[in-house]
Amino acid sequence: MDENLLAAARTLGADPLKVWRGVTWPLLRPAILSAASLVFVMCATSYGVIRVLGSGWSTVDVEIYRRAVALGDVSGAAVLAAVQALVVITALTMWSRRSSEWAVLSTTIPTRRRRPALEVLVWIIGLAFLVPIAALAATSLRSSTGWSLAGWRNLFGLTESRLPDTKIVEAVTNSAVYAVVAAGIAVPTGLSLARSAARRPRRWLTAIVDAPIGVSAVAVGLGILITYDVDPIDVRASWWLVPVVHASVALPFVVRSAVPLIRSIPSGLGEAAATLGASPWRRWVHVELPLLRPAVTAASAFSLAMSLGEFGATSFLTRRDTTTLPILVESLLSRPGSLSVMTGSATAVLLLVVTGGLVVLVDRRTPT
Amino acid sequence: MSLSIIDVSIAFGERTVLDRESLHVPTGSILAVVGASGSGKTTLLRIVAGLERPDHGRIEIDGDDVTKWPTHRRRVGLVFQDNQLFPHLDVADNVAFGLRTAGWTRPDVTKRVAELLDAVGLSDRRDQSIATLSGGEAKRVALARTLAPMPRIVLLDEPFAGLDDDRRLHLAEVVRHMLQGSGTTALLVSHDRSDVEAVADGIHRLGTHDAITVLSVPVETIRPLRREVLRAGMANQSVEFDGDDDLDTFHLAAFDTTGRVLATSTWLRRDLSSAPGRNAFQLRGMATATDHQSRGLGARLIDEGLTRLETRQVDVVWANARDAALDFYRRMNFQVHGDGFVESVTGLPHHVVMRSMSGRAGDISS
Repeated sequence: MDENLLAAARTLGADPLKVWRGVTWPLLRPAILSAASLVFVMCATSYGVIRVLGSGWSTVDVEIYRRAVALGDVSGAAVLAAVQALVVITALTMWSRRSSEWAVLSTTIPTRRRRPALEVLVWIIGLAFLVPIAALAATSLRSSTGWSLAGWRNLFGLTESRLPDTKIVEAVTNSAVYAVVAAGIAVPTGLSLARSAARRPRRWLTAIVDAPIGVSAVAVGLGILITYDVDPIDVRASWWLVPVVHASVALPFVVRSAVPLIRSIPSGLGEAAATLGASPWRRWVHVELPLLRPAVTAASAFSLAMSLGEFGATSFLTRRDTTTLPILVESLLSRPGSLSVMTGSATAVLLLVVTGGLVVLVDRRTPT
Repeated sequence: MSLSIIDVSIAFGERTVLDRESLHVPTGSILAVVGASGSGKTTLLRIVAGLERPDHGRIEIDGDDVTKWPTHRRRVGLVFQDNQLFPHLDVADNVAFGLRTAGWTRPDVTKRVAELLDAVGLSDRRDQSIATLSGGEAKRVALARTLAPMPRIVLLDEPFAGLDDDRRLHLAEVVRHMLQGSGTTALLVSHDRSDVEAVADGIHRLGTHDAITVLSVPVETIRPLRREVLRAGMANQSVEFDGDDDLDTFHLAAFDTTGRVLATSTWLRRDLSSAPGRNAFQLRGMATATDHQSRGLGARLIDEGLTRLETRQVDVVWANARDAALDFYRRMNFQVHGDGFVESVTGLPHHVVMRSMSGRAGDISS
């Protein structure tokens, strides 16, 4: 929102309340509604947090997992997944009706005015996140007898693992390979979709791209498990299944982060290049791609982070030899014994640092 | 490289933007297209560049129908109104873009870029980011970038918009110098006629359904028609007039869209003995192709010539008119002056006719 709009309202005699009611709120309303819908959808399909927090709490997603895996009630799980998908897709459709524009993931409004209350709020929220992370880091260093690096040594395979049935090094390797492959799929696909969406917004495209946000990853995992289980399309054991699912989860974020960047490239530049004799291929390589570099960086970082952290669908699709870091964290933390808790915490800290670093990279590199 | 726009129409949805527009720009000429905002000036340029496909009509370059050619094969340069300089490239690399596209060798690119930056007076800016340029400088870089790969046709979209008067004059000079120096055929559009009068050889007004284009041209362009019309059946075929090459002399030609010259006239600074001390121009060599007589082309050329004289402080325009044409000159507000005489080359009876520029006809003879 342009600060000058507010200034214009003030010069027209509007007091702060009138400015808020007449300009700020009407302009912000679509963004607030769309943010609220997004939060609703994300919470309604929350899975990893609930599973780690443990008993006493359950969401539809956890119940789907429990029925499918623990109770073997696949049809019951499928009914739950279908009902949930219906509700969430309805919410998403209403959301996209209300906001025809693509939400921008990160924007800053430059202003010289300081807003102390806002800064305090940001610090409180920041601390609320940082304290548990610090606790996690502390836990990773704390054995029953005192401080110890055993968890970290375990994580990096520096000592013979004393934890049976855990393949930590393999999990690190798997996560890295899956993330790179997922990014390799999501970035080109997402950028092409973003390019076409940026030039000509179409609702069906928005709906398809956004579907992975709405449809819970758990339901996707379950769906894949019960669909692709007959020859010749039994792909459940294929190594590429996990990265493909990760890519589809990352896709909406790639598209949403790239669309505003692509929009900011004047379409006349391609035309200018054409009048200078550049073929479509040359225009793409020498004009669009260099200008899209921030978008490519952002998209890569997003999809790497999404893949590294994906838990819901992966929990259905991994097997013992194809486990990933988030799955390993969950399994280690749910086991007794201080070594497994230390190793699990160390793994979680590593994940946080890598994914957090990637998101910081996006913020740094994204022009506002 | 001549350019013909033939019967071009385009509509966006319900809105007709261009309706059967036709014009012709002969090789090396600069034609300005003027019209109010929203009259389709930019659209016309985009059609010539291949950025829009017309609903009807065609674009010809040197007689080749290029209507369906993709933009990058046309070799038609376009200076965008908002320049559209590449933000990720510095000044020199912007200018070099079309050269690299065309596969020039590295030393040739360096040489040509230096040459163009020198011509637009920005040699000292070659390594700078385009973000550091002022509006006028950015426009000159855009001009250099467009001219660098030697396009067959150059299009300029409102090249002087948004510049103050000094910069506008300077840029107009640069544009004229560079286009003429390279013999480039150019079409420029403007909402303001006075902006382009100094640069263009002729002006075409959009939406007039006028398929005839009138331009100032080199004398070679009009000699064939002079010979065909003025010397028909005569032993003396010489069509070289005294003063044809004088600095103040200008030759007007009316073209159809095939590039054929339909009518010509020549305007020379020549004193009239009966009006000494007056700033006078002589109108000579009025010729209209035999199959285009009586279609108003003569009147059109006189109007165009008089318009060009408005800025030259001319008091009187005169001509030696064949007696058969006296009615025509009277209709154009010329007055017949003095006694008739027999012209030596043609052997036909003539009268001097004159028209005052400062007011109504008749001021001088009275």
